[in-house]
Amino acid sequence: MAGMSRRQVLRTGVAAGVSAAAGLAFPALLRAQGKPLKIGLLLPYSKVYAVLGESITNGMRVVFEAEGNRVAGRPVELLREDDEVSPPVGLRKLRKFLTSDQVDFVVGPVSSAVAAAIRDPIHQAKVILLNANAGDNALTRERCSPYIFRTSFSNWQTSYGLGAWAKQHIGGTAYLTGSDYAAGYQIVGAFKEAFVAAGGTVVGESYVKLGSTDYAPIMAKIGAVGPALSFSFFAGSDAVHFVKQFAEFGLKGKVRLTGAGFLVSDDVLESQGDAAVGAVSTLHYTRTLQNPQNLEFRKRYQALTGKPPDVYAVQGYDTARVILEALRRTGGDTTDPERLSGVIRGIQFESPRGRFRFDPATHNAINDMYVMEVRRGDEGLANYVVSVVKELKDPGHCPNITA
Amino acid sequence: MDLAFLVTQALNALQAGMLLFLLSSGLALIFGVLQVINFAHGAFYMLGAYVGLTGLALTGRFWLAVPLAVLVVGAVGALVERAFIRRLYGADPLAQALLTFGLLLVLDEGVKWLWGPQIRSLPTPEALRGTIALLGVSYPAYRLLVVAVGGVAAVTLWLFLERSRLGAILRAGVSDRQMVAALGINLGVLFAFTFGLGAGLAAFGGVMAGPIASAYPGMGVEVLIKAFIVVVIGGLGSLKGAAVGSLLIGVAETFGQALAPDWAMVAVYAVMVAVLLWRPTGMFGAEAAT
Amino acid sequence: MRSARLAAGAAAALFLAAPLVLPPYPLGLLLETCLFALFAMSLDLLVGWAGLVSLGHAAAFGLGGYTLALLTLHGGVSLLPALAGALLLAAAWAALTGALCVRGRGVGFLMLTLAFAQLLHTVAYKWTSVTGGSNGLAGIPRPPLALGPLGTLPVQGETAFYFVALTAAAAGGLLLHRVGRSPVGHILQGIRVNEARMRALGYPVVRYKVAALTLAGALAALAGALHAAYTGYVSPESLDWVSSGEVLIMVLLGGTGTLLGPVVGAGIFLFLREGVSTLTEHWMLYLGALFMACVLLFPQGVVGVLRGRRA
Repeated sequence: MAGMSRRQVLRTGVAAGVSAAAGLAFPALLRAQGKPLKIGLLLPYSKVYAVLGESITNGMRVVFEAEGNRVAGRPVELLREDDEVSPPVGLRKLRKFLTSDQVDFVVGPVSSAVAAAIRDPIHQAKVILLNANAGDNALTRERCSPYIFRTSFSNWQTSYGLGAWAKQHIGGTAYLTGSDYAAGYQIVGAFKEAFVAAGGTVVGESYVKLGSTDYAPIMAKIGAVGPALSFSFFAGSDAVHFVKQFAEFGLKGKVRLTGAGFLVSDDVLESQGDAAVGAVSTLHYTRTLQNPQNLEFRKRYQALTGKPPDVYAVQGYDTARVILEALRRTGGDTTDPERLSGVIRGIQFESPRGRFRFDPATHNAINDMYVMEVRRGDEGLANYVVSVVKELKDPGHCPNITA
Repeated sequence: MDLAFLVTQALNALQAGMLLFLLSSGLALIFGVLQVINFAHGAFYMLGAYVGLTGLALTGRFWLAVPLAVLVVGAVGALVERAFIRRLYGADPLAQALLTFGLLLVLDEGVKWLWGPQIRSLPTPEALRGTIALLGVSYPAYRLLVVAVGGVAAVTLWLFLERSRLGAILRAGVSDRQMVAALGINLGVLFAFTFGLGAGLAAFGGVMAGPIASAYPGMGVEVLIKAFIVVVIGGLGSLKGAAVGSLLIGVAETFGQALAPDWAMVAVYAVMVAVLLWRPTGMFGAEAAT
Repeated sequence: MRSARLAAGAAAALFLAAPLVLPPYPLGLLLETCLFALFAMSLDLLVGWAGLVSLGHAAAFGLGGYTLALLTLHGGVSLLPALAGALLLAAAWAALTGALCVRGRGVGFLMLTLAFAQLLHTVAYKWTSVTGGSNGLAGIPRPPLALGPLGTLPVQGETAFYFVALTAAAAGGLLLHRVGRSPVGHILQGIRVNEARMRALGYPVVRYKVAALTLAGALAALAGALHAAYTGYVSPESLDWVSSGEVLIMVLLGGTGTLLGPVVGAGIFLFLREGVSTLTEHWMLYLGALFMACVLLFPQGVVGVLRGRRA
């Protein structure tokens, strides 16, 4: 080109060269940026715990949709698989997540039995599991893993805080009841430990088959023994039936109804109606909490789903926040499980439930446990905070994490 | 173990037995007249609870919701018989079982589709929310009603079968179907009616149980096992057997739950095994030609 | 006849070639299909040949799983002794409970099998110190195949274990095929068709029934033990009546009395469950409708239809 000056040629050449180089690198950049963030949700979407699965999922969606469904430049893909609250099904779906879908994170499960089943495959595959509900103590004690984090609670945490308070404020004799499986034994056991240590006496202990609808025989027993208070672990439909029948048998005025938070949590209160009024429980969340995060969360959750949130929604919400934070700190990189594990361990933020952080030694969430009473207020039936046990840490020992 | 405790548990057993009777009498009837083992029977119980729930929402009155549930589910039962069951009379009983089992699955999922997967509470009717002092104990009024209603239903059913013409035809149908047909009675109508009656009885049990046990998917399958246990120990096709069996299982389950709650179902199964080893065709069962 | 042989050969080739062609997740499903096929075939001996409809067959399956789990977790036992233990224990269980169950007739038998299975389920659920209770036993290792003086084959890998499962299923199927065609098989069929006549002819009917239950139990335990080793997990769920119901469905869907039917039924059920459940939570409804259609249109089951059999 005769008319061009040397400078022009130089400029054009450099420009061409840079473009060429960028053009070659561009697909790689695009790939790293665009690679979807696959999150496998191993939750129940059918049967008894379907509502819990939906709540957790919706809690997560509140976070991701506020971010435009992109985290660190990566589009978020939520892959839902129904574990049907069955360990063999959960295992099969997990295998699909790990081999076929190649997910970056697994979230779930609700049932501790499913969690017990998937613990080893997760540990061996070195994929991060964010346990958004299953409370079995062992999961952050003997069976802990560097790749497993629990954003919910340990069974011990849900009832230990109530033991001393109940002895002090209600009375010295208690009748204990629970669903007949691991969670029942652990939750009732933790209450018993604290209650007896505070000087209380246990006058009866019964476990009822999971899914029982008729608690009449138990009611007769409680009535016959006449304790100052009754402590129960029941959840979902079992909680509905127990609380309703407790009132129907005329026990409500005579024996104080108490339990782990699931007995009268937001998801069952409406079905229980007035039978639940006055019941005392502990949990790490109630929708009446007045901190700014919760007020904001309630607004957004209601807008997304048309319903107020419950404790499971908050667990989902916090799980998604953890993923968000983790990816921000690694710049979107999910290829190094050790790095992710170290990053997640240190994450802290203000959550609707209070301050959220993990115990670095066990990977279990450290929770403020609220002692609450059911009252009828301007928004209907809800749990109102009466007292707080701050920063309750599960006392278990985890041998598999070198913090 | 004091008297009050025993009285309360006895009432519990009676109430559980009554609900079980409503459910299993239909099953016994269907087997007796149609020779069909109806695995879908539990689904009719469940449908009764759900239709009752909707009926309550529509009319605001429990006492209207109950007959609504019974009639609607009874009609569904009759339709099911005409559409599906009748195609398999005389066929391999295994095929019948599979058909009704498939129906159970469809209805169980269908309920989830229509009403959602979560448990739905049926509120106890206002008038019966308290307790009644009876025999030295305070017992929930509604459960006493269930006992009373169950008893009335049992007596009515017995009177119907023993004293009415239609009842006589039904009983004849159990013993000798061909004779009934030979007498000019339309078997098709009779069978549809019987199936509908059985379904209606199950639905009656379901809606009455509603305020106690609520409505939730999967409830049909759970009660089905108990109903089968009752019918098997009572004798297939025998209503007397269903009555006695229901009471027996009600007692076993209630006292099992009271004394050793985690082993309650084992107590029920133990009773069943004991009865079957003593009388393989049930307490009042005929020696049915296989 | 020839077309059947051709089809069988083609199927065998497909099964053998699968690890080369299939990615890990579908291969895993195929492995489970082999094990459930074995489970279902053993039930077919009872349902299709002897006319014994059992709703408690999962008891043997689960017992096999738990036995292998305990032997390998606590005893470090290798594959063959673990399987032997599983088979023996389950056979004993099946024989003892079977002798009691056959005293019931028809639905009575059905309910008795259910009762014993539920009893075992409750024991597994409550005996936490041994069985892990409601949480079951996790971390079950895949034991190596110790062949004594011949050395030890490490069969723990995905592909190797697939062949273990395939071998077990094929061996079980072959055994059942032989038994089915033998005089014993014909006697069982006779019992199904007319028990009174067989008794009148002098056959010890009860003994034959119990023998069938024992063999079926042993093969079901084989499937259960390998399944526990494959998934690394066993829980009371493996024993409950839902599992018994599922395997019964597989048999009925595929066609009773055909041995191939249960295999096909197992495949259909598993792939339907995996495939459809990802698409819709209401997959059970489609399954239920499928049954009803099958029963009304193809009472002999899928395989029965393909063979043109009369029911």
